[in-house]
Parts: sequence; structure tokens; C-alpha cells
Amino acid sequence: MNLDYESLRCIAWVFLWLLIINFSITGGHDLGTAILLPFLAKTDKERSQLINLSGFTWNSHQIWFIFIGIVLFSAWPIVYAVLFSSMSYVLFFSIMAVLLRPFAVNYRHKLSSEKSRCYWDKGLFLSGFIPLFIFGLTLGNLLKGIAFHLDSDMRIIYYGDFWGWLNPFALLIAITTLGLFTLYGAVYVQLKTETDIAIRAQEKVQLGAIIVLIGFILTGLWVMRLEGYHINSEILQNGFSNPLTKFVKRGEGLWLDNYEHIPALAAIPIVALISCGLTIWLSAQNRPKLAIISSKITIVGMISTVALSMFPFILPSTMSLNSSLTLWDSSSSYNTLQIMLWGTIIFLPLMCVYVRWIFKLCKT
Amino acid sequence: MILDRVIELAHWQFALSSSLQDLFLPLTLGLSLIVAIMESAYLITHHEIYKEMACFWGKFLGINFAIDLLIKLALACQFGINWSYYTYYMSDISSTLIMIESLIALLNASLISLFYFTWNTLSKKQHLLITWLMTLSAMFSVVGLLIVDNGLQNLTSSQFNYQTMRMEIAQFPDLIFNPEVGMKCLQTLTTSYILTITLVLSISAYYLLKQRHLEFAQRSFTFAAGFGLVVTLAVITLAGVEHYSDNKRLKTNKHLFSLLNTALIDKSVIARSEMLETNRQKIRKGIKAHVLLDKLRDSHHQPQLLVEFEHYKKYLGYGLLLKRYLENIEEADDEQIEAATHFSMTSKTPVLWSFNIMLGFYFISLTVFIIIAISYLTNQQHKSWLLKLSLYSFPLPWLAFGMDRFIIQLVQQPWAVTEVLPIFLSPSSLSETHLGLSLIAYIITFSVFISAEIFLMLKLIKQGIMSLDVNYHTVKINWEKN
Repeated sequence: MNLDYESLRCIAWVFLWLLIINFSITGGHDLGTAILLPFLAKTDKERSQLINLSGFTWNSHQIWFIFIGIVLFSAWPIVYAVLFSSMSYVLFFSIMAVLLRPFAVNYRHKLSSEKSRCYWDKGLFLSGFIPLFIFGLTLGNLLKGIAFHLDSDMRIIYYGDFWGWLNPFALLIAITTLGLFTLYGAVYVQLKTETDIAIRAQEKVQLGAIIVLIGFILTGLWVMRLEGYHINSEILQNGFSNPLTKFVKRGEGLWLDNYEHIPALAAIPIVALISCGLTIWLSAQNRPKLAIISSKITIVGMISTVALSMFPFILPSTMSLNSSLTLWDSSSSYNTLQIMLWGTIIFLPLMCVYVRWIFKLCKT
Repeated sequence: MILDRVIELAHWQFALSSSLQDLFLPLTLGLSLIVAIMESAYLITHHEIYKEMACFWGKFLGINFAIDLLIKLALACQFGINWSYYTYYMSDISSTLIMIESLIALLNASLISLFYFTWNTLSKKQHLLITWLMTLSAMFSVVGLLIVDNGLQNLTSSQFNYQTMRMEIAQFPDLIFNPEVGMKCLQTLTTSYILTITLVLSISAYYLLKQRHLEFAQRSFTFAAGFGLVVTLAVITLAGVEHYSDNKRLKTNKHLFSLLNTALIDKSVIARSEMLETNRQKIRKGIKAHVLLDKLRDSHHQPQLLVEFEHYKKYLGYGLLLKRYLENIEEADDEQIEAATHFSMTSKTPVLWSFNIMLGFYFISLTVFIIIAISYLTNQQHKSWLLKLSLYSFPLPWLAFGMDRFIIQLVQQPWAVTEVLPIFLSPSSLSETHLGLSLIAYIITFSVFISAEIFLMLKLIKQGIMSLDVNYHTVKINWEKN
């Protein structure tokens, strides 16, 4: 079976966002629990209990994160190059924060004094807070556009700086993201624990959900006035990957274009909002099993909303509009995408089977 | 016009980062094989000491692999952060294999952790199976890396695409089934085994000298000595085979043994003035290629221009060298072309010298292996001079390995990819502060990794095999308590 370039690009795009969603769902509750650590656990024992919730599996969740980077590198090389070279400092902080985690989890129990344990617990909090904050910032800046320019040889010239990342719109999305994962983590804690911690978690669910609801609606209103992007020229879906062959215009509210063309798409943000509200209700009713499902739907809905609003853009540029990277002009070559597709079809199921087998071995 | 200092910084950074990236690879490769063989011996003889040996050396493997993985993670980010143009230009060749390679690395990581945690839960045969799978996956992962490496050096499987301004893969099978790869694998394996054997020999010798863990140390020593002899014989055969095989491909093959031959050829045949003349011609053709490229962009792919461009495009990289002196290549004058010609030459003399020193180091450690083998025949293996010799000859092959990696980078300058992409064009940004800061960041990161590895290994050596039993039983319990 030979697919054409267009469908391969679509598959690679969907795959990328699926991986991001997958990471948010599998790794999200570990990160969310880490943020909640200082608020939910009052005693040392409770803290250990919370940390043990992520137990053996958290490192396999973080592997998904690495996998996102690899897929970016292989399927969207120029996106990877622009994103990483413009994010260098931001990325540095988040990697440092992520590295805190294995040390905190492994060495914490070896310390006898409660004071030094406290330091590691703060470290754990940061290892959840910083990556999620940066994840939100990145999403915000994707929507807003990044200040880069491609010259005719495709060299990347980046004009922005660290403080440019901290613009109000990105901050709003970062706060919403933090709220979202706190909500998710809290529901997870409520599901997995009993007694005091569960009750405290229930309160945090309400808090997180309110942040998410307000944040998401505010973002939606802001996006109506935010400068979006639109391809103004003819698009060659099967053409070579050269971002400089198109013309892009920028204008207020253009991110809502996709919803105008296909009104049914609006169902996705609406479902996300409704399920967020449902989570509050289910958690208050003390039915965490259903609440965790609805919070997962919230995450899927909200992240897909970002992806779909931006379609077909992946990385718009504020400095030179035509350099913006889209789905149709920033992928790898046809051959590479083809081989990658088959590689994934063969190896991914094998991986899943293998991981199951390992978990079985470890349990016995 | 780019400042000399910026060029210098970029060169240093590239040489350093690419020579340090597989610093820990040999130990992963070598130790996993050694551990697998020891465990097989345990299964055959049912002698507890072999299990202890496998456990102990397995711990070294674990430390080494963890640090190796961290380095790989740092590198994965660094290629986007610091070498974005290089990544964009070349990634089509490496991307698929890097994806597969990282899957294998994950597989390897999980197998290593299984190796640790299932000593008590699995049957002997099952555990041995896991150990051998671990060894195999380490080997596969190296094969993947070597294919990528080879693909970036011999660009037969890829082509420059003027529409996307990057190298794109044309024939994927060519990339994998390249005849060079097999030879390179053998070379990498032998080098890795030499390095690992010296580690095992020196640690065992240290224990023997200190009169600790006598039986364990003795067996490890004997084992490494036998293995060392086999590797020595293999190296000699390989060098011979390489010498008599086709000379043409030595030009691109930049590994230890073939470098020797290239160096010998270079001395006698190609004179410097001749090289200068060829490079001057190539640069002029490179300018022509750029003129055509610009025309192609403007005139929307006229077939006639395209044919002409196809003819000149292999010199495009030489044209790029001129970017050091001016932004618009087409306007280059004779003086600038002359400067670029000189820039394109690497001076071979210091390289040759350090190359000889490096070979000498390897030669000494091979001699040590032979001396040890002979001492076994004459039953003198417990003499303290022999033990001291094996202990103190430990750094030599490592120095040689480090130099080997570094020389390869020196020979390659000013190219990041030979005749395709100059190093100074590869970084994301050419500001002096950026290059300087990131160079410092490299040095700090790698020193932290290297010292962490050395620290952990020294700690393990001090603890000795006494630590084993306690740890193996308590790791899991700790986890549950925690």
C-alpha cells in the first residue's frame, strides 16, 4: 500500500498530537500529584503515600515525552529545529526540573531527618510545576507565534528572548494548564487514596476545575481578538517541504476560521467544558472512577482544541509571516515519512505487548 | 564576514560534542557481553561465584548505561538547541534510524532493569535469556548508530534537494546495507572489548593486590585474560584484512585502522599544491552551483537549468565555505576564493603525530594482553609485577580512544559533513556569547557526567562484592517501604 504525501503528512500530524495527548494522560497525573504534594499531605507518612502513587510506572510515562521529541525530530525536522533553538533557556529549566524527579523519588526514603526530606519534597513539587508551566507557556506561544525568520537557505534566525515567552496570553494558558493537571492529579489522588487525603483532594478538584473553566473561557474570548494566521495562497498538499513558497496573512480572530468552515468542530471545546463541569459534580458526589474518565475527556478535548484551531499551522512566525511552518510544508521527505509509518505500524504494537509482559514479570 | 574567533569556537564545540557523544558506549557493549558469558558459565557449572561475577560486573553496566542514557538525552536536545541548521540539513538521513535506535535503547534499558530485579523471581534459564537479549539489544543499538554515522559520511544513499535545501534520502536500503557498515561494526566491537577488558583486568588486579575477594578476582582476571587474547588475535586479523582490501573506500572510512592506511597514502601521493588547485576548482564550481540555485528559485524550475544544476550540485558545499567571507557568494573575488581554498585544507601533520601516539597506546595494551596470556602458560600469573602492569596500563587505551574520537573530528574540519556542510554554518546562532556560553555548558555537563560515572564506579569498587547480596534483596523491599 502506497499512501500519497498528503495523507502521510496528515498521519504524522495526528500522530504527533496523539502522542502529546497520550503523554498528558499517562504522565499528567504524576506531575499533577507532584504539584499537589505540599497541599494534600500534612505528615511525612502521607507524603510518602502520595509519592508512591506514581510508583513504578512514572519513568515509563516520561518516556512518552522523549518520544514526542523523537517524532518531532524525525517527522517535523524544521519544527524541531526552530522550537528547540528558540526555546533553549526554557528547555534547559524544564530538563533540570525533570531531572530532580528521579533523585527525589530514589533518595528521599534514604534520608532520615525530616528536614532534608522536606527539601526533596520541594524539589518534587518543582519537578511537577516547572514542566507543566513550560508546557502551558509553549502551547500559548504556539498560538501567538514565535519570533523567527527563515532565510532563503533555510537558516533559522531567532529574534525573541526569554522574556518574550512570558507574555500575558501565554501566561493565561500556562495557568489554565496548571489548573487542568492539578484537577487531573487531584481526581487521581481521590481515586487511589482514602480518608483525609481524599477529602482534601476533593477540595482541590473544585479549585482546579474552577481555574480551568475560567481560564478556558477567558482564552476563548481572547482568541476572538487574538491575531491568528491564515494561508492566503494556494496550498500544494503534495508539494515539497519548503515553508517559503506560500503567503500568510495575519488578522484578529483568524484562529476561529476552522470552526466557521466546519461548525461541527465547535463540539470539541464544548465537550471539554461540559466534562470539566461534570468532573466537579462527580467528584463532589464521591464517584472518582467516573470523575477520572471525565477529567481525561477534558484533557483530550482541550489539547485537541489547540491543535484544531491551529490547523494547518504548526508553528506560526510573528516576525516573517511567510516563514510560518505548516503541516504541508515542514515535514520530512516522502520516503522518510513512508518508512516511519511502516516502522511505527510494526514496532508500536510489539512495544505494547513487550511492556505488558514486563509489567507482568515485575508484579510476580 | 564571520570573525575568526567565532569560527574557532564553533570548531571546538563541534569537535568536543561529537567526540564525547559515544564515550560510554564501549563499556555498555563490552560489559553486557562479559556479563552474559559469565552468567552462561553459571548455568553450565552451577558455581555460585559466576553468579556473583555477573552481578558485580552487571552493576558497572547499570551505572554506565544510566549515564550513557542521560548523555543521549542531553544530545537529543542539544542538536536542536545548538546545531539547528545541521539538524535541518542532514536529519532526513538519520531520522528513521534514530527513531528505531531510541526504541532499541528503551528496550535495552528495560532489559537491564529486568536483569537487576529478576534474579530471585525467574528461573536460571529465563534470566539467562534476558541477559542475552540485553547483550543483543546493546549490539543492535550500536549497529543503528554506526549506520547513521556511516550514512552521514558516505552520502551515496541521499541526494540534495534544491527545493527544500536539505539532503534527502533516496535509497533507504542503500543506507542500511552499505558494505562499510559491517567492517565498522567489527572495528567498534573490538575497540569496545579492548577497553572493557582493561577495566576488568585492572579492577581484578587491584583486588588481587589488596588480597580482597581472592577467588572472585582471580576468576575475573583469568576470564578477562582469555578474552583479551581472543580480541588481540581478532585485531591483528582485521588490520590485515583491511590492509589488503580495496583501497578506494579508505578515503571515506575514518576509523582507527583505516586511518592508518589513509595516513600512509597521504604522505606519499597527494602533494599540497595539487590539493589546493583541486579545491580552488571545486570552490569555483561551488559558486556556479549557487548561481544556478538562485536562478532555479526565481525561475520556477526550468528543466534546462535543472540539468545544469544537477551537474554542479555536488560542489555546493565548497561554495558554502565562502559564506565565511561574504554573505552573497556570487560576488566573491579572487582574494576571497584564495582564502576559502586555504580554509578548506586541514593540516595533516599534528594529526599524523597524534595518530601515531594513539596507535602506540592501543599497541601497548594489546602487548599487555599477550604478556598476560604468556604468563598463564608459564604459570606466573600471580606475580605482583604482572598485576601492577595490568592495573597501571588501564588508562592507556582510554586515552587512545578519546584521541581517536578527537582526531576524527580534527581530520574532518572545516566540515561538519565532508564536502557538504561547513561547521561554521551548522550552529543555530553565530553570536560569540551564544557559542561561548554553550561551549562552557558542554564542558560542565560532560564533566559532571564523567565525574559522576567515575565516582559511582570507585564507590562500587570500594564496596566490592560484599555489597551484592544485601543490595539485591533489599532494592525491592526498599521500594515497597518507600
